[in-house]
Amino acid sequence: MLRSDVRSNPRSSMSSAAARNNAASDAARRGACVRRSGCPAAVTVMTITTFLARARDVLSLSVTRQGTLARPARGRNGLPRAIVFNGDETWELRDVPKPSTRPGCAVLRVEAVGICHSDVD
Amino acid sequence: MPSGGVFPTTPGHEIVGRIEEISPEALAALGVQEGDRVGVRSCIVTAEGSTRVYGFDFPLDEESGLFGGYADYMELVPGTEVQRLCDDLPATELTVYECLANSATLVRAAHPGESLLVHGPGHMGLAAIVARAA
Repeated sequence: MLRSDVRSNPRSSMSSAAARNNAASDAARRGACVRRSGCPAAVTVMTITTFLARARDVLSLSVTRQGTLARPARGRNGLPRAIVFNGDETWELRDVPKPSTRPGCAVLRVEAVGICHSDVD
Repeated sequence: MPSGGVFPTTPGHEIVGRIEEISPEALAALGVQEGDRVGVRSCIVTAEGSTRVYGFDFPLDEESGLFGGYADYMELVPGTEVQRLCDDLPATELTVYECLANSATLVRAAHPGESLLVHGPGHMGLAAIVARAA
């Protein structure tokens, strides 16, 4: 089971996340525009946009053109990370130990992952 | 297909990564070795014949809890299928493999001479057209 030393409010660091990432910053600006419209549907869009921006920042979803890994498999405190969806429309970035290789299994070092609407809907 | 899933969970399908460590059993079953870049099929078939989907159907309190792509590492369990992927493209671009594979599979059911209606020219719709033309 993942350790529970969570950062319980990942949204709180959204402003610094956006500053570090142009794409994230763009997404945040779009989110801010949508939010001002006050439409309930737009709130959903803002939430997803904020999520995408933050997820992109925390996992640094990028590699070099040659396909080699451009990011370490750990966060700033040296531990691997995982995002956890709690089921109540909140999510957390957790520090997790690297899994051991169980019989019959393999361990994958994730380089990139698609973000599908089915993940956030 | 995504089932609606369980919570809490580590989400994320459409996964591209490199084999970090592999057991002898998985080495034989998957046909890939450490260091290989692979795309992971989301759906696995368990020994009992049921299906589970990475990123949706694995609760956090099962083993490491790392059965989704929104993480630095994840576990690949028995019943997993992977496809070797090339090394000369960015991994971020390769994550479309799943959408492309889905589209190609969907249009395979069509017979010569039949028309296909693509309802939405997104990446899957466009991939369906390419797959049909191939």
